Amino acid sequence: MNNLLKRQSVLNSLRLRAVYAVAFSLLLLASCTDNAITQVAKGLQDVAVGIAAVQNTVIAGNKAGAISDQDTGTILQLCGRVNVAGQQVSAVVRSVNALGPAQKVNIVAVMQPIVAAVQAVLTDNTLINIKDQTVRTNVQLGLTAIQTALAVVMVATGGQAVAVAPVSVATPPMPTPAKEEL
Amino acid sequence: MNVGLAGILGLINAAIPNIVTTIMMIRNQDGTHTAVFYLDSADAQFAANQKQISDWMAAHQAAKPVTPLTP
Repeated sequence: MNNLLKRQSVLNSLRLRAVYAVAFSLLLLASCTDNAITQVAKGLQDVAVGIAAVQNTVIAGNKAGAISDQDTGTILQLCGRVNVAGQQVSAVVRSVNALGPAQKVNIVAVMQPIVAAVQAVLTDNTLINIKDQTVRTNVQLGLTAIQTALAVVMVATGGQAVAVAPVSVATPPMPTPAKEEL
Repeated sequence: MNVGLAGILGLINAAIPNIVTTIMMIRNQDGTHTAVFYLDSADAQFAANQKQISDWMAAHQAAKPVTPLTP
């Protein structure tokens, strides 16, 4: 009787150890997340922080009278588009343990128009209208940093990154003095 | 991570909801953060950014003078 109890106890102990071993192995496996997911997630965090910096700069510039309401609205609308795209990509990444081809295509489809839109604002006339040189440079640098973070996300998902070359913002043309009549 | 592991993780998550997410929140041994940490941080920042935009838009829409209707 005593032996039976002892045997039962040893068996229970072994079963418990086996359960612990399996659970521990699964925990170890689960903590090894896909590297691409981490890269995308880190890229998204950089984008979010970069957008916050641009928004703060633009709103402060608008308050100081350096940026018109119209240009502030244009840049904030762009920021809004990037925020929404970032949230969409985040939702895609959260739903999986590894980025498969379908998720990658989905992420690239969301990101590509955003990358193009940021690039467009960097190259079109929106920034030229910012009167204050410091504010203009800060917005330009902020958007360039966002381009870089977006490029990281695109590369991690196999998308084509836009070359993030320093964009020179043309200064408004100086008015040419009228020729004096002789 | 292969499909088999993803399947196992799916089963664990079904048995104990959010356990995989919780596991993924653990810091890596080298001190770097895991994906879920970055995603949580990014989502919170995106939401704060969106609120800032809506506040600015609302304030500037309210400040705009209402054009009187011409008789």
